Amino acid sequence: MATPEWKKWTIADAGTVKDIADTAKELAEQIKTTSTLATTAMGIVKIIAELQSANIFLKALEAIADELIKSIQDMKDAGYYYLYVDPYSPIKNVEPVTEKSYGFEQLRDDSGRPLYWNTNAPDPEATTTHSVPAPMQHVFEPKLAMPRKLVAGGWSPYTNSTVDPFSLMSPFPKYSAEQVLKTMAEAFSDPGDVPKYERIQLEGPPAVNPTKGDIVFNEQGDPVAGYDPEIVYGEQLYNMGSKNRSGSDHTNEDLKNGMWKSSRIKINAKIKSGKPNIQGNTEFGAGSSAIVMLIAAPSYEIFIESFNAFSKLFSDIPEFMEASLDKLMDTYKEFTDPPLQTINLTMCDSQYGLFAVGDVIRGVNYGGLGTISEILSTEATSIVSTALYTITDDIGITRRTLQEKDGNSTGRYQDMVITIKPIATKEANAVETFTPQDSVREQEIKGYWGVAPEKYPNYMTKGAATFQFKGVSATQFEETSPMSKRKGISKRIYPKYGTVSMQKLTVPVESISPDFNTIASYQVIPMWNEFFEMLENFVVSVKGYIATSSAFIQDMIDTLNELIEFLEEMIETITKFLAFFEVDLSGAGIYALHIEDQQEGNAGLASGITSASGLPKNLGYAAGIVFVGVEVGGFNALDKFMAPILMA
Amino acid sequence: MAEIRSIVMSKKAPEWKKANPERTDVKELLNKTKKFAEMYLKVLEERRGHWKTFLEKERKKEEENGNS
Repeated sequence: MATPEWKKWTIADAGTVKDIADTAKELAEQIKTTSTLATTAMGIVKIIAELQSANIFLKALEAIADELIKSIQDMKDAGYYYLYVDPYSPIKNVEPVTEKSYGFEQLRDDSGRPLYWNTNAPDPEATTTHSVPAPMQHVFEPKLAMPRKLVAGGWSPYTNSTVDPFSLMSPFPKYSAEQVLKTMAEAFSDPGDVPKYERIQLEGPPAVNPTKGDIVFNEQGDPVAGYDPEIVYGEQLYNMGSKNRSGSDHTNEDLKNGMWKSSRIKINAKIKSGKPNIQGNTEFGAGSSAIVMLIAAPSYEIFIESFNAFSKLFSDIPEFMEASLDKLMDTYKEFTDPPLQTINLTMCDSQYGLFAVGDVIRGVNYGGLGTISEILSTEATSIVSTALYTITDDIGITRRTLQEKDGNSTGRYQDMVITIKPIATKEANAVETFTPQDSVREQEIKGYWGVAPEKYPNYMTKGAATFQFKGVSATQFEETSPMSKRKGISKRIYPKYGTVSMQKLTVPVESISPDFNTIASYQVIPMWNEFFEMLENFVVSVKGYIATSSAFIQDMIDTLNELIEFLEEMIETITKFLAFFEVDLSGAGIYALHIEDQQEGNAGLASGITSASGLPKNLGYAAGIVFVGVEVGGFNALDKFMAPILMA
Repeated sequence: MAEIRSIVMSKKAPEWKKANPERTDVKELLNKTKKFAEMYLKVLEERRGHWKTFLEKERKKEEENGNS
C-alpha cells in the first residue's frame, strides 16, 4: 500500500480539465487566426461591404477568444501542493481499521444486555442478572452460551472492559476525521517525502546521455559523482556545469562566461513534487495558506454518498479520477443487500417444528446466516435401512432374510428446499456461506451490535439461555418443581433444526430497472468523450477550412454547413456538461477549513489543521485532501483561485 | 507599580465549517467556451449567407453573360 504523498496540482493542469483547457485555448487561437485569414479572403473578392455586420461579431469573437485564453492561462499559472488521505478507494494510501474482538458468546437478555450469574450460589440460575451490584462483582461471572462458541464481541478474560463490545463494533473499517487530520499534520514533516527525479532518455551524443559512473552536475553547476541512470535522485541534474567534468574551466569562452547555464540540458525530470518545504519567515513575509476538505460522516452509507459526489465533481484531481467508487458501494451493498440463496436442507425434524418463512437460521459450525424468504418444497426424508433377520418356522428350521425398513415412516424428518435472504455476520462483516453436513439452528434476536445508524441485530440460537446438560443442571429448568414435572412443563426452548445437504447455485433474480450500473468516468459526465472528440474534430475542420476557402466557394459553403452543425452540437454538449457541475453538495458530509496566509510555514499549517475547532464529533468514516499555497510576491494563488471553489 | 501590557491582536483561529464546494472554475471555462462557440456560430451563419448571395450573383452573371 502506498503512503500519503504530496503532489502538485494546478486546476487546469490535471486530468480532464487540462484537456478542456488545452483544446479550448488551441481552438480560440486557431479561430483568431482563421477569422483574420477569412477576412483577408473576403477582401480579395471585394465584398467587404456586405460583411460589415459580420465584422462586429468578429471583433466580439476575438475579444472572447482573448478572454478565454487569459482565463485558461490564469488557472494554469496557479499551482498548489496537495495531499490526499485516502482510506477507502482501491488505491488507498492509509489503512482503515475494523474494531472487532473475539470472545466466548455471552448470553444476553431480550434487550441485548449481557447476562452474569453467580455459579457458586445454591441456585445459580436464580442469580442471573444484567446488572451486578458493585460489592458482588467478584463472585459473578459472565453467563456464557452453551456449547461454547467464539464470536465477535464475545467475552474474553483478557479484556477487562466495562463497555459492551457490541457498542464499539462496526461492519465497515473505520478511519476517523481525527485520524485523517493527524495523518495530514504528520505529512508536513515526513522526511522521506522529498522531490524525486527520474532519468530522461535523450536523443543525442553521449554528452547529453551520461552513463553509470559519469560525472554530472547539480542545479548550482557543481560536479557530482556516483551517477547511475537507473536510480531516482532527489535533485535536478544536468549534463553540464560551471566547469568541465575534469574540474578545469570551459575552453569555450561563452560557456566560461556563464553561457553554461542556458546551454546545459536536464538529464532527469521531476516525477514527484515532495512535500511543501515552507520554513516560515516572520521577517520577509513568506506566507503560506491551506485549505482542507474533509469528506466525513458518522455512517458509512452517508460517507460513500458524499465521497462519490465530491470525487465526481473533482475528477480532474488524478486520485479522484482513478478511485473506482464501485468497490466502496459494493462493500456496502454486499453487506446490506446480498443476493438470495437457495439451500437444500435434510433431516428437518418436525417434532421441533419445521422451518417457516421469516425464520432466521444459522450454521452451527460455520457462519451462514439468513432469513427464510420462501419454502420451495417439503418432502419426507428417505431413511431406508436394510436389516438381516433370522426367522424360524414351526418345525424349528431357521432362515435368514433381508428386509427393508423405513426409518421415517411417520414423516417426522423432512427434506426442505428453501430460499434465504442472507444476513452479513458480525464475525465476517460479510455474508458467509452454508456448508454441507453442517447443522442449522433457528435464531432469535438478542440485542443489537454496532452504533446507530449502523446497528444490526445480534442473532443467537433460539433458546440458548435455556440450554442444559442432562444431569447436574437438568433440574434448573426442566424440573424446577414437582408440579411442573408432573405436568410435563419444560422451560427449555428448543430451536428448529435441520442439516444442510447442499447450497444451490442461484441465478440472480431479474432486477427492476433502473439498475445501478458500473459507472465509468466517461459515463458519469454526460458525453464526456464525445465532447473532446468534437473539439478535436472541430480544430481539424477549421484547418481544412483555411485550405479550401479561397479555392471553391461551394466547397466553402459546404464546409461552413458542417462547421455550423458541429458548433450546434458542441453548444448542446457544453450545456449538458455544465449541468453536470450544477451539483448541490450542501447536504453531503463535506467540511472545509481555510487556514489563511500565515508565517509559520509547514509547522504552522500542521498545527492549524489539528487545532482548528468546530468539527463535529463521531465522524468515524473520513477521507480528506489538503491544498497548500505559497505566497509569491505578496500573492497567494490558493486564496484567490481555490478558496472560492472550495469554500462556497 | 502599575505594569504596562501590550495587547497583541491575534488572527482569528481557523474553524471548520460545512462546505458546499462548487466548480466555478470549470463552469466559468465552459461558459466562456460556450459563449465563444455561440458567437462563432453566428459569424459562420452570417458568412454562409453572404457566400450564398455572392455565389447566386456569380451564377446570375454567368447566365446573363451566357444569354447575351
